[in-house]
Amino acid sequence: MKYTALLALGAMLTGSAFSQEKIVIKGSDTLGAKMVPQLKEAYIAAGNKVDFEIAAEGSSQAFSNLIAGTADIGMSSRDAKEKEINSFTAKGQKLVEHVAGWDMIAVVTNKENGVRKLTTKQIEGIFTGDITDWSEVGGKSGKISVYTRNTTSGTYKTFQGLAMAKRDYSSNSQKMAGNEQIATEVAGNVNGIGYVGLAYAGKDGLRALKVDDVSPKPKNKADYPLSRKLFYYTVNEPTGEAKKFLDWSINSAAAKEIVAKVGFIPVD
Amino acid sequence: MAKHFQRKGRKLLGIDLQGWIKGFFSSNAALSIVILFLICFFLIVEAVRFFPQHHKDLQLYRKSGQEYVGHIITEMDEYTKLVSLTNQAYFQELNDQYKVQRGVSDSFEAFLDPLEDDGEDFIEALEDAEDDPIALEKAKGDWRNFVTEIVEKVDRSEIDSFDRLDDASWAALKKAMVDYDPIEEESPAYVLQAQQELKQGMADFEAAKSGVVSAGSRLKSLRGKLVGIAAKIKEDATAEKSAEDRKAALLAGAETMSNEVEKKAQIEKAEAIVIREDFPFAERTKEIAASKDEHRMAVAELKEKLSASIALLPEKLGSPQASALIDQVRTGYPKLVEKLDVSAEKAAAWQWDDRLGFFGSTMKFFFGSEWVTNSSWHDFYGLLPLFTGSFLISIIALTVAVPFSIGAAIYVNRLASKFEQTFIKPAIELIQAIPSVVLGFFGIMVLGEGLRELSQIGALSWIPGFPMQERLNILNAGLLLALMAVPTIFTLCEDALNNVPKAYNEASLALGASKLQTIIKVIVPTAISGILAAVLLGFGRVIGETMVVLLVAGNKISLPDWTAGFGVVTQPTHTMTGIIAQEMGEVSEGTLHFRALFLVGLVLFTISLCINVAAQRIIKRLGHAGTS
Repeated sequence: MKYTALLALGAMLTGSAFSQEKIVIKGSDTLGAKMVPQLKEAYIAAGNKVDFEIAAEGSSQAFSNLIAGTADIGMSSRDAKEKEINSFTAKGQKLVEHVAGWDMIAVVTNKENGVRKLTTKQIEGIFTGDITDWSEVGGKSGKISVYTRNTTSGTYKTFQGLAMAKRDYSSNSQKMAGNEQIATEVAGNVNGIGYVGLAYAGKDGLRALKVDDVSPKPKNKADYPLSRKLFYYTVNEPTGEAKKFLDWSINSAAAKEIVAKVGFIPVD
Repeated sequence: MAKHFQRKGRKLLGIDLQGWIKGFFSSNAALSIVILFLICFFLIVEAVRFFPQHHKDLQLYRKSGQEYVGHIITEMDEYTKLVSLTNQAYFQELNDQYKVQRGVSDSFEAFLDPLEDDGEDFIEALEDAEDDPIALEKAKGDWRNFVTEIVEKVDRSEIDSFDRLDDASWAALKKAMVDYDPIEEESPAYVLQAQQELKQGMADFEAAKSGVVSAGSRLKSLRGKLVGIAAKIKEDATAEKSAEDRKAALLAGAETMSNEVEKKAQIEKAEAIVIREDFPFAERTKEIAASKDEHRMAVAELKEKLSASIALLPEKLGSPQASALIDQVRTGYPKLVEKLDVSAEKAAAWQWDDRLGFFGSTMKFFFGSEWVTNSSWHDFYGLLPLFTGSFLISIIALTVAVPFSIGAAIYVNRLASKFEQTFIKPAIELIQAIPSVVLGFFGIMVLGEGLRELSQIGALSWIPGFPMQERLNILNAGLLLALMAVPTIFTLCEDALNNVPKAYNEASLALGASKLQTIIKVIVPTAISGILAAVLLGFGRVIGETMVVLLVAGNKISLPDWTAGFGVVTQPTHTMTGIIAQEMGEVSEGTLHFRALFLVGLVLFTISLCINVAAQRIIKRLGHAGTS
């Protein structure tokens, strides 16, 4: 008797779980670490009955999952490469891009380090290895420790384009797995420098530098030299629940507030 | 028992129960062997296909002219090192001799931010009152009050962020700020005077320094021009290859379309893509080849101007650090010339259609000193930095682990009391139960931070590499791996000691040897083969470890700076296992990068295999008392 009751209960539970539609979102960890999970919470709290699965493992995962049909929405911190677009065309599908917001890449140093601002030229010099000592950019002498994301990260590539004139990173740079790791290492090393998303620049012990005399603040998104767009991708125009969620998270006031809260800049 | 089986046993498919059990075990064994072979096969197939693809990639590097431009890039990089040293010397001297003046000048600049941000209203009032003397006087008074207020309010550490000013000059600067004219942007006299002093004092150095900086401008602009051209040639050449893929993709897509009109349009689009047999490298690289003269002249100019400017660098400097740096520049110059000559020779010899030997491209993998991936210029796959990193970490780990584990094994096996034995052995073996990711975390948060703090102690600064700047480094990773290797070496060593026949021990003691003599002269030499094998297997354990090195080694892909001597162990590095873990996640299948990582895997596999075979051999050949 007991078991039958349990079974019935289980069936009810799973039944109700399956009755909800599920949106699978995969891709960039810049979007997937804080922003999209918080959007999801608010979306559900607003009374939308839908399940979410979110996996944030890097921008490339957005496209490989979309093409395999294992994701409804892809998150990416860079636009799609031609090769990736090709693979969709080959299946007779269209990859559709939606701008999710803006991200500023903050160049951070240790709070103890007196350097307050750098020019893009100086940043290029530091990250390519032309400049190796803090005294060359006005600071106290000390060998610069450069922390970057690892090569598969979207930010790695974006930063190269925005700040380094596409030149290669210095072979002395240390490749860290994520924003948080860079923030931790720089916060612990007076001579460290690295770059993180704006959301991470507020960590204790860090200072976000002015670049070309512009501070990394949301109001400066158009002037700040190191800002970039963030994207959602879908296969063909989105439909059903995915469309509802995308419309809400890009256009609603509540969503914009969340986007701003996690340190990104919402679309105007 | 057998009868029992037979009585109950019913035959299924003509095989009885025992047959089934036997079959179950043998099929398990067979399956694991088959899987092993499949893994090896897969690994080798993917890895070996790297070589032809890599060869093609390097050929494209040569044909597109990137190889030639690469020489210019190397030349610039070498020259930039001297520029960097000169700059450092300049600022060192500046700081040493003109600290206050520099502080005044910088702090003045820093004051302008809050003044201009918060004082907009006052500045506007000043502008509006320009023609009205009375209003102007009032506006000026307001401005002065505002400045005095701001100057008192600001945080000194924000303005004088390097702590360059003494109290007297700080007070003087604060007082002088009132004289700042925001309309004409005229600096106060006090600031001007400081700037003047600084400029006069450093004039000679400044002139020599800018000579050093500008010596390479011709080469630099040549680099800028050629990098663009070569990258474009490569892009076009690859695009032409990818045009084939694009065409195939469009056609395949058209197949799946149901709408006839769209289908037709897509097929037309596909047909429009023309695929040429050969990319016209000769024609495209003409401009690059033609720049050889310009290159030669630019290098000559660089050498000439640089040597002239270096001669101008001041002989006597106030700061000893600056003098040391200038000495480095002076001794660095002949070395630079040597490198430039070598590079120029290589560059002059470049031809787009030179044959590239297969052997050469293979060696580029095994002995290449650069591992650069996801580059906008060219990806390099050189194993050497990764191999060196893995090797250095293993050496550290073994140096630490071997004495500890062998010592512990001898103690537990021969000297310890029964109680100690029952306690020590399980304790050491328990280390193996710690997940490596936990150890890695420990390495970052506790060991790394602790080592760095320890290295900051002044009394220890004689140790090479101290004080260390990075907490994620070779030493940290090596120490953690030593911890992981101890249980392996300890257990195997202990087994080897256990296998020494009792008679040896007894005979030695009977002859009057002490316990210690027996251990050193009889027991250890007898078990030496087992001990050596234990060390080798420990090495295998260490070189294959991934998680700890990924988290703790610091992930810097370059050959260590050997000039640091033993201090090299405090530098960060990257490893063969770490690179696979870090980069495999996002490379797409079949690309050169993907296969390069497989090849690194194959190298690791080969190393492990060799170690295991060597350990077996040692046991067999030397093993008098055989550890079985």
